[in-house]
Amino acid sequence: MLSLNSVCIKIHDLTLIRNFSITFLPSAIVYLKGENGSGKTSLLRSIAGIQELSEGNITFGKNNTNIGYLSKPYCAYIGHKNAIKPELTVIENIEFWAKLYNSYEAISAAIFYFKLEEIANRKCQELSTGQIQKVALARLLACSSQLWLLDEVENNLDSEGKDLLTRLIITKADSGGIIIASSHNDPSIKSSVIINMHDYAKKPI
Amino acid sequence: MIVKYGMIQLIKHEFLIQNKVNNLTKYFFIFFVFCSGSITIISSHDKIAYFGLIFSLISIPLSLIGISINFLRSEIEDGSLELLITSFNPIQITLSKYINLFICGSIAFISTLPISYFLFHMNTTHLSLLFISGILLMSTSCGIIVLISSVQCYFRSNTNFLSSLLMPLIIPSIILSGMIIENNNSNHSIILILLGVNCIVVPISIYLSSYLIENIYNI
Repeated sequence: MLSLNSVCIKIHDLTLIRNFSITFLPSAIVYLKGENGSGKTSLLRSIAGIQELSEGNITFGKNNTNIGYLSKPYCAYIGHKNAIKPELTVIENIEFWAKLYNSYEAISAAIFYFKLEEIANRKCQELSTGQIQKVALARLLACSSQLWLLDEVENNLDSEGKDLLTRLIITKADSGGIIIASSHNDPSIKSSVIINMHDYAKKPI
Repeated sequence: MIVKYGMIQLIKHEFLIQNKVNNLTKYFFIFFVFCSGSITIISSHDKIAYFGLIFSLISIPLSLIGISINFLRSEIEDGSLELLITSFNPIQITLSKYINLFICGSIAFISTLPISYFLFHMNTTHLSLLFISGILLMSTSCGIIVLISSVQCYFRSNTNFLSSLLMPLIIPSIILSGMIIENNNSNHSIILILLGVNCIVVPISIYLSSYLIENIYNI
């Protein structure tokens, strides 16, 4: 269970999110929608522990522990920039993270799922933008975590890649995972919850 | 135990990145060989051994300055730092970067010692003094370079100006290293002073860097 309690995010003097409280139960698929600068990325970063909250707190897990006290890594995150090193091979880019999440055996499954077998030993600088995005998603799959935070990951994916991602999200949710994704497009998963950031942002108290 | 294992994994990963992406060890090696080699060609100084050795030592901070700009910035630009922060504490990230910079620099420096041995006709005492002062200077320089690269990423403007303000922190260590090379006999106390400088500069640099990294996305 992931709970956001009276969350407030300010950047400089601009309040992006004010007094935002919500609880996500296991198997939740949530899409954050909103225009540019509405606070989608900031919210995902705050949940991931990258950015500090201005006010409020976030708890996660069975004991509702504040994320500041949780042992890292407690989530799998893909940001705007996919953190793929062009000089390393596909395998090398995934290997370190899979080891870190104690799910080394999931690497081959992740590579197989995103059909990256033929390019597994090629350097990422030789790949297309869409293929690099698939490598980032394969890394996500190889990292065993119950909380996925995806920041506009559908960008640069072809229709096949989008289908694979959709199926992956549904499978993850079926196994009790919580998936929070930001997107500008309408979600293809009907059971997902859409949060319009505009409804929560800059709202007067 | 898991944290320790993760830290070792991070250091290994950082070593792979620094050598495959930035070619750090090769860069240091070529730089040191070039500096120590070029001095034998261009200098007609009487005490070429001392002059050459001191110049070889100065090449350590010089080589590190060259990599400071892209050392952390590339991590921010490709999104790796965000991902690292989700999995590690800022102090672990900073420490792994410091350790790898130190290891890569030291490997290259130690590799050039036999070259210096032949170029400058050194004896064993000289060689050991060069080794000690070089390693201690490398340690201080790495700490300051990690701090400079963090400052350059944290402050989005006037970064070069801020970096040049921090650079003089290396100067005392360079002077002390030079004194160790020049004074053959009474250099134990200077080595201890240089060690003391390390004990002060390195932890402060690492702590400040980790603070800056922690707050890099909170601006």
